[in-house]
Formats: sequence, C-alpha cells, structure tokens
Amino acid sequence: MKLNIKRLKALLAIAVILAASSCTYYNDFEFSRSVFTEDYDFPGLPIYSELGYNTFGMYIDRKVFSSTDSAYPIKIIVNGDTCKFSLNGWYSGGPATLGIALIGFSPEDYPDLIQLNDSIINLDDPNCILTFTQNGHTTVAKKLDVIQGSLHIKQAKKLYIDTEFTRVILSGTIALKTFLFDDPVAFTNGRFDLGVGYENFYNY
Amino acid sequence: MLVASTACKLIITLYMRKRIWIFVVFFFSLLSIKAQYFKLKDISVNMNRQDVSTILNESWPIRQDVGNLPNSWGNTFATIKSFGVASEMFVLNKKWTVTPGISFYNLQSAIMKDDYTRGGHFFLRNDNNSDGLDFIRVKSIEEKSNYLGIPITLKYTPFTFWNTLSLHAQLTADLAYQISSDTSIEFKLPAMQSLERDILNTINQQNNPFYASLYASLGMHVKLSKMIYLSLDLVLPEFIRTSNNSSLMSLQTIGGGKFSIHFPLSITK
Repeated sequence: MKLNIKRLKALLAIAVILAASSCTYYNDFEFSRSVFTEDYDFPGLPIYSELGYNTFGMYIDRKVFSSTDSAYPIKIIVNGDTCKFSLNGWYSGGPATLGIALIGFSPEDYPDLIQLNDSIINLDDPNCILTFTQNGHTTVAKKLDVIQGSLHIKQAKKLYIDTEFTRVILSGTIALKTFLFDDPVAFTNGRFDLGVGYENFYNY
Repeated sequence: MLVASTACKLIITLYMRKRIWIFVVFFFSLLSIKAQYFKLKDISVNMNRQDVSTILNESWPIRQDVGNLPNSWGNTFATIKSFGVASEMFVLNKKWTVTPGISFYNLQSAIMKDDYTRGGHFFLRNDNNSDGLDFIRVKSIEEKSNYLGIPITLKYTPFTFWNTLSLHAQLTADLAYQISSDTSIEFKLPAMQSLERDILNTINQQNNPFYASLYASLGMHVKLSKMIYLSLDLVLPEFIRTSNNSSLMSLQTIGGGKFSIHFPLSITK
C-alpha cells in the first residue's frame, strides 16, 4: 500500500512537472484581437508598442501596408530548417502578405521564439528570403531582391494571462529597400507588436 | 518602536480629523453671522445627484484603450451624490438668498465593458512579474470616495406665484475634503483576488483629497404645507471642478438633479 502511495506521488509529481513545462493551448479571444491606435506622426500606422497589441504597419513608398482586425497579423510556419514569418495585412486596396523566411532557424514551438529577443536580422542575407503577395485585382507572389534592410526584434518576451504562460510577444521595427513590380521601393517606418501562440504557430 | 508608531498614527488621525472639523466649524461660523447681517429663512435637507461624462485615465495599465476596440468596450461611468443640511438666509431682499450647508459627498467611478453582465472582461497589466508581460483578466475596477464639505448656494428668485410656487436660479460652490477612498478590482478568476492589493500598490494611482466645484441650477420651490416646502432643481454642467477626484478617469459633469425639503422658520400664510 505504501509503495502504491509512493508511486502515486511520483506520478503526480511527473504530471505537475509536465503540465508546468508544456505549452498552453489557451487562447483568450479578446487578447488575440488587435488594438489599433493610430500614430499621429505617421498616419495610417499603429503606434510603436511592446504590449501585444497585435498590430504592424509600414509605408511602402507612400502607401500604407498595415494589419487588419480580420486576419491574424502574423503566422509563423516552421518547415524543416526554415522559419517563415508571414505578416498579413492590407495594402493598396487588398489583402497582402510580407513573408520573411529565415533558413537555419527552426524553433520547436512558440516559446522558443524568446531567443529572438534583442536581435537584428539582415534582410539582405542569403539565408533570408523575402516574398510579397498581393491579392487585390491581381495576385503576385514574388521573391524580393533586397537592396538593403533589417528586422530589429527589440523585445521577445513571454506573455502571461492570469499568471498562465500563453504566448510570446514580438515587438520591433523593420526597414527595407527592394524591388516591387520591377520598381525600387522602400518599406519605411515599419513597426510591429505581435503575439505568437498556439493559434498562429505551425511546425510541420 | 511600537509606541512611536502608534503615536504617529494618532497624530495623523487627529490631524486628518482636524481638517474635517474645519468644515464643520466653518459651517456653524456662517450660521452665527446671520444674526448680524442676514435673516434666516429656513432649514433644509437636500439630496443631489450629478451624472458625469468620463474619460479613462490612461496612466492605468489597461490594455484596451477606450475607442480602440470597436463594439465591445467603452463603459466608464461615474456619479456624484450628496446629502446634506443647509440653512437659507435672505440677503438684501426676498429675491436673493444665500444657503451655507454641510454635505456628505459620495463619488463612485467604475470601468467595465458593456458586456459585463455576460462575463465581459478586459486586461490589466500586472507589473509585479519581471519574467515577461503579465495581464490579469478583470471584470471591473471601481473606486468609491467619500467627502465632507460645505456647499454655499446663492439663489435668485425672480418669480413667485400665489405665495405657493416660485422659480429660481442658483449658483452653488462646493468645497469638500476626502474622508475615505477605496479602489477595488473584480477579477475574472476569483483566485486572482489575492493579487488585488499588490497590483493596486504597484499601480499606486492617487486621487485628489480636495473636491471643489462651481455649478448653476434652475428650479422651482413649491409649498406643500405651512411647514414644508419642496425644491426641485435641474443641475447644469459645472463651470469649475477640481481635477483627479477619481484616479480612474477625468470627470466632467453633464447634468443632474437636486431635491430638497425646506422647513421654514417663520411661517407664512
């Protein structure tokens, strides 16, 4: 009988450890929504924030490319040794996606994104592949020839709701010069404050 | 050490009480000068309610700002209620009166979502967690403050009909000092209630212990019997108000009502 109680305690301890270390599938709907506060100095763009407001925005030349409330502003897809960040928003009257694929970076699950804290990714690096997809009147999905650019993830931090770890917040800035439809364009004043959790992180 | 601490608490308590007693002493001082300059008209009991338009104080670490999340957010509300006694005195002639009083003021303000009754919640940041961002789901935050003060009203009564009904305009100045204030958080998960004091201490939002306002009102005075008169007033938006009387939001009176029962000291036929 004593042995059984010991076994039971051991099993309970293992269960507690597993529960504490595992990722949560909890997704608060309210928190997954976007809080878009417009930046007075940069019309059409959200303010720079690091609070998980689920927004991003940038100018492509003089047009706004920013997140909406209808689609997840970010999806992270890990496939093999490549991790792709898809920024889904609205550009020039239609939905658009900026894809940033990092070869050689393959987080197992979203908590591993913490390692991106205070990191700068050179977007003209050969291991970084950028695509821009626009679904308006026409659909264009094209690998971008990057002239220069960088993605600065200033903050990658854990987010707790009611003291339960639920997602990782990625906040930072992006600037880029590239060719779009064979014209040189600049992505400027880019900022993002995005939550990544069970619902928008894929590894297959 | 314990004796010193107790002595300090006693001194602070006496000091605070002394401030409150200043209002009481001032009220009776006003009554005492009437014999020389004014003629006492009546004693009244009054109740006042003012509805207030509100703007959320953004220094509270609340994730969703008012207006930034459509159709699901935006309920901040506040009311100012008062109850008191006053004595009305004629000044110069029967059309002008001045009414010093003593009143208890209750200011309630709250933040909640419009789907509160269906369990709606919002997010309050808990800065006590250094490991990352920590948000607590909250159903409402409420602040209740009580003040004791002296309202002074200047009343002009241009029209009197059959010695029974009169119409008047009033200008009221309130000056009050806080006697208590409490902020409470209703959490989505009752288990989080134990964090309430820590969170409030970290946020450390203080409200203004002094309350003052200046507002006008229009109303009528009705004779119910020889011994009882009734006054009903429509309170207009205030001209001046002290700021930060609620730590949750900034307030602006948009109107209200005032009800008072008067007991005349000289019976008129």
